[in-house]
Amino acid sequence: MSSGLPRRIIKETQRLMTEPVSGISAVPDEQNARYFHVHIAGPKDSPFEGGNFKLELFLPEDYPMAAPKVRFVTKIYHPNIDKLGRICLDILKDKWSPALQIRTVLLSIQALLSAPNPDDPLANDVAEQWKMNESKAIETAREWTRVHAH
Amino acid sequence: MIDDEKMERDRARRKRTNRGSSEEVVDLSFNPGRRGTNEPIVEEEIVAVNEASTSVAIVDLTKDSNDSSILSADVVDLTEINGTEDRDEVTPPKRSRRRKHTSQDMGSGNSVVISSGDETDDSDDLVLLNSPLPDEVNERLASCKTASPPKKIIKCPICYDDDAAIKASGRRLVSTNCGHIFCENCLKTSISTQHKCPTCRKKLTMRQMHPIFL
Repeated sequence: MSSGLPRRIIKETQRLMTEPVSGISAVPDEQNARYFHVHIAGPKDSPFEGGNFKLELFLPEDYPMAAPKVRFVTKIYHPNIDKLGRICLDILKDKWSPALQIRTVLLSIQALLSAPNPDDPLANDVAEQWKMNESKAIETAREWTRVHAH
Repeated sequence: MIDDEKMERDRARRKRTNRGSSEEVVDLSFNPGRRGTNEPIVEEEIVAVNEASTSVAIVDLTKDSNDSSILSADVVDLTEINGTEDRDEVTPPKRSRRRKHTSQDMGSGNSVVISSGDETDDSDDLVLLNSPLPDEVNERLASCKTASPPKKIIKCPICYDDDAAIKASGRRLVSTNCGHIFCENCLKTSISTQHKCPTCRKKLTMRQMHPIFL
């Protein structure tokens, strides 16, 4: 396995470059082809609109049998993303399937920004605020987006 | 909205007809009933019920209009409008033409407009029946024909190799019991780690797959 990059990863990378997803960019690191620099634009009509969020994505040795590891680098106020940028998303854990790919993972993360789910929290304080006073939580998320995500 | 549609349709019609384009422009500006109704027949019935004394009007609108001297100019005008709408969809042209000719015989005040519309009506009907519909049909047929064969490329959704590459490397194509296709190696590895179909997540064991030969 360690003999070079699997053809699947090469193909995926090529397709990400030639047919990028709108609002998402993923560029492989020059040193490590399994490490991607990702940018996701905050979805329209979400508190993250106008923000440009940086993430890092790493394809482990047993990818695609194991899920990619993804983390927000940009600070974000979201009930399913914690202080360290770790993301609570089922397809990154038990719902991973080798038929999924970088593209679908990033699309799911983009969708998670549009639909925060405080009932399955990772950042407990944020989730609590989201449930207690949603409009205030959304305002905080906007504020964080303005301050951190550009 | 309506105006836009109108404009587009007018433009299309101008392209289609080879003769008398100026005549058409005059006709279009005159005609109030051009706003597209999709179901001219239904429209006819409604008009009949609402506007005219029922039984006579129905006979007049749907069949021959020889006895329609009782009817006022308004009613004749409405059938005329229906006639022009008919043009947008493809309907049997004979009936509407007959109606129009008799309405001219009545010599109502609107007959000038009606007759001018009448001429382009006929030409439009012919053109419509001949050119645009078959084009659309042909396009659809063509797209169907071209779309299906390239889809025959079968890829393993895990290693992304196509069936040729899979066979060339001595692997087999397999299908799960739930009907999803992979290369043998990828599916076996996947089942051994997750025990479910990578495509639909249905529970799977190593026995619930079989080779397929294409």
